[in-house]
Amino acid sequence: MFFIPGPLIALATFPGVIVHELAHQLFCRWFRIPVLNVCYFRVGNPAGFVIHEPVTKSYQSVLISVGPFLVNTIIGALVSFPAAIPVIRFGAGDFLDYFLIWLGVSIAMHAIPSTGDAKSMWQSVKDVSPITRLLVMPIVGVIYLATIGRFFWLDLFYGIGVAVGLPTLAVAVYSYFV
Amino acid sequence: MAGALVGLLIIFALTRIPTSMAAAVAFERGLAAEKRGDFAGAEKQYQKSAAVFQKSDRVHGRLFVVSFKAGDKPVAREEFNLLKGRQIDSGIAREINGLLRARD
Repeated sequence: MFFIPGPLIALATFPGVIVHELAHQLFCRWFRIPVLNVCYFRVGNPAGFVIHEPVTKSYQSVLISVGPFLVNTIIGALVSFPAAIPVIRFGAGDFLDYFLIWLGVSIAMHAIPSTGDAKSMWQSVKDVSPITRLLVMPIVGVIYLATIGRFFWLDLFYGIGVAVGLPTLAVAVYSYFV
Repeated sequence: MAGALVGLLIIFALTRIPTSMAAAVAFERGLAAEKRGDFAGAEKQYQKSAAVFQKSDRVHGRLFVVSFKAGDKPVAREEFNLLKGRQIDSGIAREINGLLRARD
């Protein structure tokens, strides 16, 4: 296992960081939670952040925190979809195709919420009913497990799976039914 | 600004999906037709795929094989000339050489 410093990875995959923060901001807007400060990308730790006013309902905090998982996954898959097919399936990609795949992998690999997201999610359910906490606990647990998985390039594998694996699978499934 | 850029990228990618998908599905249909022994049908499908993935040796290789088997000499010749001298997959190269040897 080889180690590459986080800021270097963030630099190489900066579009994913931007989309990650945009996803947080999008969910804040959706719930009409005022955003106080946004940093879409910087060389540092964290590579980006969204500071918003406290939320009124715990489900809002959960969705703001896990928003990037949904948004980055969907956008990563969509962006790389038309490029992954010629490159992976037909070995006929051009510069634009490789660029879109890099973009898709970069976006999808930043889908996993950070421990900061998990902490703020956990903070928001601290004083609510035990049932809500019980529901949120597995999500927080999965985020922490995924963070450990990052040491083993889980985020990269996830990014490749979404950006390259999904289009290949989609063609296979679609061809089977059509 | 960042949001608009992401939006534009998505729109750009979305416009390319139907073409890529249709060409990939045409190739899969071509494979299925070839398996059934319908070489003329396979040729039609591979031609659709080759129109989009013009640089794909895989598509052109299969198109040569089925057009040769279907007896469509002009297409087979065109595809052969296109593949000649290229570093192509060893499996398809063997298949093409096998067909040409059998003809001789």
